[in-house]
Amino acid sequence: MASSDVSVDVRPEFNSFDHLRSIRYIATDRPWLTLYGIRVQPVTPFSSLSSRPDLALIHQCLPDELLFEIFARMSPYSLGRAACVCRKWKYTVRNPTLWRNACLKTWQRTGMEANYQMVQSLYDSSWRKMWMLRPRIQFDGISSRRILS
Amino acid sequence: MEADKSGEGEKAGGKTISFRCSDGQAFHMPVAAAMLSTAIRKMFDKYPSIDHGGVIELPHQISSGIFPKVKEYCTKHAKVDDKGNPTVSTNTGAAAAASSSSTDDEEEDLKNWDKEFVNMEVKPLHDLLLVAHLLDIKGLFHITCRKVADMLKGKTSEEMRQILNIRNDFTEEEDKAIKEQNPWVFPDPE
Repeated sequence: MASSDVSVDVRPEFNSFDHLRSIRYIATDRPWLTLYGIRVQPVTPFSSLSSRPDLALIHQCLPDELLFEIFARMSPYSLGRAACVCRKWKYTVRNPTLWRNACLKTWQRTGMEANYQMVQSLYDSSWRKMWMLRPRIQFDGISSRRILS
Repeated sequence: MEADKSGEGEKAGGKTISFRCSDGQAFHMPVAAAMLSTAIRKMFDKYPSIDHGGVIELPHQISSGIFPKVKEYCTKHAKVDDKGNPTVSTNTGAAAAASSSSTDDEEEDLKNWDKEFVNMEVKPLHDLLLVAHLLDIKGLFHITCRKVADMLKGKTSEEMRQILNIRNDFTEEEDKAIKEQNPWVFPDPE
């Protein structure tokens, strides 16, 4: 970084401070000064593309972990629909814990250990993928596969 | 009215704790009821002077409009044994099986009361959920979360948006792709 020596001219009223005349200051470039006054907008991954504020109460009032707690009490089918509501919900619904709980509840007769082995060997350790692809019996007796977001 | 309630608390739970909301309004709650909040219990253990006329300042998120509901819930659910120690009612199957039929009826009444208690508009429900989270009142937190989940149960994405006033922030391409991935043509089997 280039630096230049600058001698300081002291005003006459400060004659009592004669020693200041001889002091030489080093003036360095300070590029960060150009950043002052510029407001950088933070990038939020789930926010809307438009500049309108988010009016949703659930987003204004509740932190993300509470949104997760609500989703944890919803059925997988409702979760699939919730994923279509907005970006924030889509990313929250992708939390593997939600799908692990859904899988372990749906196939609890298989046993926890067997389910863990199955998800690792057949479904690339993805509980969501397991829920999507593994056949299951519905209440109407039809074996179904449901595609979720 | 408030004084009467706090008086009842004095008789039932022995002592009361004072709370002050951010707008300056004060509330009194029996100690046994306040102990349902893990946060308050920890504070009580750390600062025993609260027991002697101290006032707990509540965070700004807890308004004086919603705190009476919290007090109502805690007072209803608090039970005190002979020694005056608070015992939190646990609605587990094992506890219900071991208890007498009268206790079973009490549990059932309490569950019905809980259902009625959270039967409210979206805004106060959100406030209540946040307060339950901040004060760490597990029972209240569970029933409020459950209520919001039930409100969304069996609803389409558009209906969910309408209920909670959420704007669809997907682009047209994303929206189209999501709809192709999610052909929700079947009714919810649950």
